[in-house]
Amino acid sequence: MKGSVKHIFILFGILIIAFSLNVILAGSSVLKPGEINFDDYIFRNIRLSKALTALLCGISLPIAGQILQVLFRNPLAGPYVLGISSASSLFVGIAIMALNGFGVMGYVFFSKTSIILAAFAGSLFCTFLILFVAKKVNSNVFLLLIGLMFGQIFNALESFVEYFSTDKGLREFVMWSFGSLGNSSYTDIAIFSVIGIILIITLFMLTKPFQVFLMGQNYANALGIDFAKYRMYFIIISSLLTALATAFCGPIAFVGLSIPIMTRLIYKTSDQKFQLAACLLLGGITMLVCDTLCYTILPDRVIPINVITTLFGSPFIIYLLFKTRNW
Amino acid sequence: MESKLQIDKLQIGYVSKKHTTIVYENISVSFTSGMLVGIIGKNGLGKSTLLRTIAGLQDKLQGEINFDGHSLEQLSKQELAKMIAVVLTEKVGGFNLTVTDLVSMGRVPYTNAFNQLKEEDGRIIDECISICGLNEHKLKSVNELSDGLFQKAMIAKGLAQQTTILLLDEPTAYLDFPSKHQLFELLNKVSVEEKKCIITSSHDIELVLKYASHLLIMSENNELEFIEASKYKGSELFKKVTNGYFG
Repeated sequence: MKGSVKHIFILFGILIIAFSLNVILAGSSVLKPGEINFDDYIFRNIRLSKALTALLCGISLPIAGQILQVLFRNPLAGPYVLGISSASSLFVGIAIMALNGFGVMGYVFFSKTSIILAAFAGSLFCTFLILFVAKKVNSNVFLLLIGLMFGQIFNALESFVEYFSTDKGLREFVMWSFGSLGNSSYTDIAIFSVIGIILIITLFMLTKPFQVFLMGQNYANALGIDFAKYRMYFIIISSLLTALATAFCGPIAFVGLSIPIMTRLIYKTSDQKFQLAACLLLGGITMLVCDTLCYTILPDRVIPINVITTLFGSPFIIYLLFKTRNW
Repeated sequence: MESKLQIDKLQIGYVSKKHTTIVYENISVSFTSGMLVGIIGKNGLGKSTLLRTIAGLQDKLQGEINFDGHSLEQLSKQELAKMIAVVLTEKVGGFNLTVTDLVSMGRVPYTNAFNQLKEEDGRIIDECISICGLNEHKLKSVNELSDGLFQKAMIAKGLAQQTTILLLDEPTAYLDFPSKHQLFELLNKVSVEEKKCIITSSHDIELVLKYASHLLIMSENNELEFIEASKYKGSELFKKVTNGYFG
């Protein structure tokens, strides 16, 4: 137990360093010491807000992923599975195309708010579909397959909408789907962090049933844990976290699926309190580092965040998987 | 202290929207602590359904299940978890679960809302691990265990639950012969020394005859017989179920 507290402190230290480096480096120029104060426009409204968004996104997606992987006792599960991300994308697609099609006045303002609302609506819609199905079915594998099918349907509908969209709408949607951390205002960040923190605290209060979920449905019930009830709670928490991240940053690939796998491979503990804490910290670090890389790899060019998270993260996971055969 | 599990006119099966499937009915039998009961009978007769129903994992259709005078459906899930432990056929593992982690799960009905293990819990966990002969494998990942060791670990988890009743669903199914022997020896030891009531289904009838104290025989025609294992020769139903193989 003492060892795990030490690991958490180390991760926390790295997180602070990653955060500082991100603020200083991730932008069009390296910040000079004089520019690091709250009166400086670039520091406050561009660098700091982007770093906070990266942090929130990096915290919420891996937690959502860890929940789904434990729920389905399957490391393949992530926010993309169950169709939740796809539903968000579809709704955002519809919103963007519709706004473009109708040429709404005050377009800039509307598009931002409507994207967030649409992503949220999509996530919730899919979550309620899943919950509805979950009430009817007992088997987790069955639920997973149905989630995958929902995802396929949403993807198909998305292509359908894209096909009939205007050039401008399509372009905007594609840009959104690359994922972006730089679009959040402080109001956005406040909403994101308040809801996110409430969800994560709730989850930490439920670590006992969460731990027992490792045993699967029957054993959980036989150990006095009401599986159906807690499954509901966990699906809701995971979907809302996914919804938040997708709404504010676009569909961010990779971190939701991979960070939980990484923490399991690195720390080799089944203690879910620790695993969740490690996911949250390592997720934050990863997003901050990836965002820094986006700005620093090519001079005068910014690479989309999803390209970096996937290109750098996946080989690392493959390496870990080969190194640790017994996972 | 003698505990008693009393089953009266129990009807088991499955309910769906359209129809009710009755798997077995009119089961009346009573088990007491210190018994090692072997449930025998062909596949698909309802041995697992019976065990799952007693464990509260699925609803009974009719009848009564009483434990020391308490009707089982009046008990909360947590209270039930302190009375009945199960070892099912499904596999558990992955997520870095070690043998100790698995056995610790047995303490879940007793721990606080944050699942903190007290000194007492640690002592019980260690003791159960050592009763099941798993001392060398304590820190091994559950995925690395052989089938025999895995079953022992699941039994250790069941013991850590400190219940009077332990239900097992075909625990010897995938084991090699020496492991089957060891497993039944362990069950026998636990039933005698820990005064537990152990009910296990099994197809290894020669081992059941050797180690079990009682037999619950189930047949296709919904016949049911509960006898002492040593008196199997006098049972017509036993002869029928085993095709006369054991004389």
